[in-house]
Amino acid sequence: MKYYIILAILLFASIFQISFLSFFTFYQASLDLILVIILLIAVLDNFKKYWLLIIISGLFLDCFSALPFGAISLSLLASVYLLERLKKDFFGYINFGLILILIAIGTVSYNLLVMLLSRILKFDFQINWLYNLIYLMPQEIIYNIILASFIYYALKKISAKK
Amino acid sequence: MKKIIKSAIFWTIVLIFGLILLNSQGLLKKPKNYLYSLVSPSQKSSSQIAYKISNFFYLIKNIKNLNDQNSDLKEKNLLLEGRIAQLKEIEKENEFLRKQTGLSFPAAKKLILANIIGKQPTNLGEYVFINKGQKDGVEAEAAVILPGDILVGRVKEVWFSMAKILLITDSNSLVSAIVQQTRIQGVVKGQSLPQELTLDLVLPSESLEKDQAVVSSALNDVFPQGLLIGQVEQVISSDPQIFQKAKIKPAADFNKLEKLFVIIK
Repeated sequence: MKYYIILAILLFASIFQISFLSFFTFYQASLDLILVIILLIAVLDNFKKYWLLIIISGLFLDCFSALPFGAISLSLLASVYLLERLKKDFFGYINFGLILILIAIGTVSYNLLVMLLSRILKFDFQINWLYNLIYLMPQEIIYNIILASFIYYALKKISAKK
Repeated sequence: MKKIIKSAIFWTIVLIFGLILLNSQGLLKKPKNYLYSLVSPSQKSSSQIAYKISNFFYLIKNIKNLNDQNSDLKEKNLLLEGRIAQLKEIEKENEFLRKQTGLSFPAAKKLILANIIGKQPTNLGEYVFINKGQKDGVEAEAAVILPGDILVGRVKEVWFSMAKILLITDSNSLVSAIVQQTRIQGVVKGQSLPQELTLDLVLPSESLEKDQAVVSSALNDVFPQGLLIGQVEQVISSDPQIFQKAKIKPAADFNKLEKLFVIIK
């Protein structure tokens, strides 16, 4: 896919995330569209090609976030890098099941890093760790896996038509 | 070492840390202003669509209870109408006494109506964005309320056309409060749970009771006195604790916030 199309998709998805998806919470957790798209890019393609786009979307979300500036972009970057390493060092062939496992790992690492970096970048930033780790994160993993499955099949259909 | 310096990852991390530093010095305010001005019209329209859809689903979800809710609200309405009539009499009496004693009248609040146009992109934190900013007279640390003087939060950051509101349910929020009936003092802390607050630092000698109203106290720098926060839902006290705590049910429904008022200082 062309570079500028992916940039447009990511920026549109970021605005959609802030002003649309975040209004829909299911048991207090909401879908993280931008994270799913970026993790799918990392899993399905060579993320180094889209490095700059990932940074731009991360910084964009940082501007609209209540978390300390930089926490989201650094977490996205680290999670994507982790998936790349896992993909290269541990898994040779990527199938659908593995994609979902990697999305789950990416979601866990992203959430943990966002919380840790928020505390590091702003020492007095209060986080309800227990609630986030035990209640919100498992839900987010499930939502992200479902969303990733839909996006994956949509992409597959689009590429089959082409 | 040379390999690390040459890598894109290294320079990206340097760039992000550079931006973090610039942001901490307030040097990113201008670029952020441009970004928000550019994005806020599309945010406004997409958030309105989101409200319409979520209201539709809320209606479907609650359609069974609507009849019960309606009769409950009618009953409450009658009670409140009676209370308003009583309060109007007291208000007139108060007005008369103030004139007699030469006391000044409390100044009326100046309010700005704002729409919520965005929420936090992650599941962490209880923040919202509103479509009013410096150009409309919004200032940092201003109190944000709902009709009926119900406290919702405060302005955390303000830009030219937008502002970020820290809700009182966020774990970074602290509000000095008193129990309206008994004047017991405490601090209301957010728990980062949408419908839960805690009244903390209440002396063990004080007696807290269920259903008592909790309002903002005069000890606040940010919030005017008497803004309704919620009602005592459950008193939590145990022997080893120095202070008593109480679970507070917020007066505002934080899942259904749409329009807010910012109090001009």
